[in-house]
Amino acid sequence: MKLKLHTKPDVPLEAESITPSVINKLKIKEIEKVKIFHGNREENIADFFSVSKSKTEALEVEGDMNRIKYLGANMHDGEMYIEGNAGAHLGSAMSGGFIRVNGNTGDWIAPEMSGGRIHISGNSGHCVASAYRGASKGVSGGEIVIEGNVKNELGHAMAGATMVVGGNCGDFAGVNMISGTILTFGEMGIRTGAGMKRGSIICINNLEVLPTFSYDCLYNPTYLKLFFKYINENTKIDIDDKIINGSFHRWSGDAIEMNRGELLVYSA
Amino acid sequence: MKINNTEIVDTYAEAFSMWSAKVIITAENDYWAEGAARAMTGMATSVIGCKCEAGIDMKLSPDETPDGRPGYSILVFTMDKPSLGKRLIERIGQCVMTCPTTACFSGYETEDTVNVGGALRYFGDGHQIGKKIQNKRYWRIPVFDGEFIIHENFGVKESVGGGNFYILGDNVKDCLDACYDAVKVMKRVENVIMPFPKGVVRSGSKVGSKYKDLVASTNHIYCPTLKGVVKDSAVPDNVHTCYEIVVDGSDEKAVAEAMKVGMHAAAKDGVTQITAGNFGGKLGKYKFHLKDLLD
Repeated sequence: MKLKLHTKPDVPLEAESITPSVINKLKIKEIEKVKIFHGNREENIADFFSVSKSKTEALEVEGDMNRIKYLGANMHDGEMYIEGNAGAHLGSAMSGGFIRVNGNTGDWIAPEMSGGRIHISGNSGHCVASAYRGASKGVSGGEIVIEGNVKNELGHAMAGATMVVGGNCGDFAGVNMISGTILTFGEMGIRTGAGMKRGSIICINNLEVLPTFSYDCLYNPTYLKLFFKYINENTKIDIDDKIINGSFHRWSGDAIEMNRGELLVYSA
Repeated sequence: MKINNTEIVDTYAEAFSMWSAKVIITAENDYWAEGAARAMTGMATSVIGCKCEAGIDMKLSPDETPDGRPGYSILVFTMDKPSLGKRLIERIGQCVMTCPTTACFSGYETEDTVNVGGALRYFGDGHQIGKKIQNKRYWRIPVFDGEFIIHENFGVKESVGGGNFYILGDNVKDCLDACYDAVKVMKRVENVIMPFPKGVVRSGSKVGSKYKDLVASTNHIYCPTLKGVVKDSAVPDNVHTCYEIVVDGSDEKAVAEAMKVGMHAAAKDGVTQITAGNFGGKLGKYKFHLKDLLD
C-alpha cells in the first residue's frame, strides 16, 4: 500500500496505526477510515493521506512528515519505506521488520526497540534509541543506521542494540549503556560513554575520553573488520581501507560502573 | 569399461552417512592461516582412530572470507552431530584459537547448528564480549595479540563419507604418479576432502576383523603380498601395487564429481585397473557406481 500526505497537520499527528501489520491487511476504503490522533482529536487517515495500491508488499509513505509521530510503532515484521522526513517516535517499541527513511527524522527515534532494523539516510534528533526518563533500560535489540548526524543522548541505557552514525554525534552518546554497539564516523560530543557498564563505543574521529576510563592498548580488532564489511555492504557509508585495516586505541570503562565497557578510537 | 587403457571395474564404492561442518579460518596473512588450518586438520584421517576426518577444502582469497583476510575453508566429518560439536570445540580451541592473529567462522548456512564459540567463550574467563552482526552472534575472546573472534554456532549438515576408488597398477611409481594426478584435480572440487596423507591410503580397510574387538582391519583382498595366500584376492596377475583414494564430501554430488575427475586423471599408462571398495551394504547407504562416473 502507498500513503501520500496531502494535508500537513497543524499540530502533531500521532499515527501509531501507520505500520505494515495494520495497513497491509486492509482494503483501501478500510485504510481511509483508520483512526489517527490529530492533537487530541481522532481523525481518519484519509483526512491527511491519499491511499493507493503499490507494486510491492512493502508499505510506502510519502511526504514531509516531521510533525507525524509514531510511524511504524510496534512494528514486528514487514517493510516500510518513508520518502521524506519523519517525526518523533518513529519505530517506537519495534520488535522486527525494516523501516527505511529517505530523509531526516525527529527526536526519540525507536524508544523501547527490541528488534528489527531502521535505516535513515539523513539526520536524526535527540535521544535516538534512548531509555525513557526514569527507565533503567533502553532499547534491547535491533539495528539503527543513520547516515547523517545525530544530536544528544544517542543510545542512553541501551542494552544490546547496534547503532551506526555516519556523521557527527552530540553529547552523552552511550550514557549509562548496558551493552550493545555504537559506531560513529564523525565527531563525538562530550561525556561519551559516561556510566557505561558494558558494550562498545567505536569512534573514527577524535574523542575526549572521560578520566574514569583507563587506557588498555593499541590493536587491530578483527571484530571491526567484520562490522565494517557489513556496513560497507549494507549502507552508503563509505569506509576507507585505511580504517578497515587500521589500529584502534582501546579504553576500558566506565570505572564508576562495572568498568566492562570499551571505547575503540581509531588511530589515524 | 575403459578410460584410456585402464580397465574400470563394473562395481561401486560404498559410502556412508556422516555429519560435517565447514570451518573458515582467517589470519593476518597466509602463513598463519595455513598454520592453523594444517594444525586443525592434523591426525584426522579416519574416524576409526581419530574421532573425526578433516582436511583443507579450499584456500580462500581475502574477498572470499568474512573478515576480508586470507583464509582456508576446512571440512570436518564425524559419525554423529553431538560428536561433531565436541571435535570442533577441541580442534578450534587447541589449534585455531592458539594460532596468532586467527579468527574462525562457520562456513555452512544451515538450520542445524552446534554450539562452538558459545562454549569456547569461557576461555575468556569473564572478559569475553558477545556481539551480534546481522543476526549472527560472535564471541570476542581476549588473547595475547588482541582478540580471537568466533561464531557462536557453526552450521552442520548430514554428509557423505567414504567415497572411494582403488588404483591398481604394475608398480609403486606408476600408481603414485596416478594418485598424485588424481588428488591434484580432486582438490579443485569444492566441498570435498581427501583426509589421508596427501589424499592417498595404502592401508585400505574392510569392515570387521578376525579379532572380535576390532571394527576394521586390512582389506586383505587388495594386498599384493597375500595374492597367493588368500582365496578371494582381488589383485589381478599383472598388478603389484594398490592404492585407495578416499573422499568425504558435503553431499553426494560433490563426492561423485570428485571421484569422476579423480578416476579420469588416474587412468593412465601403468594403471591396470580402477575399482572401488564395497562391503555388500554393511558399511553405508550410498552407492557410487563407477560406470555412472565415466562420462
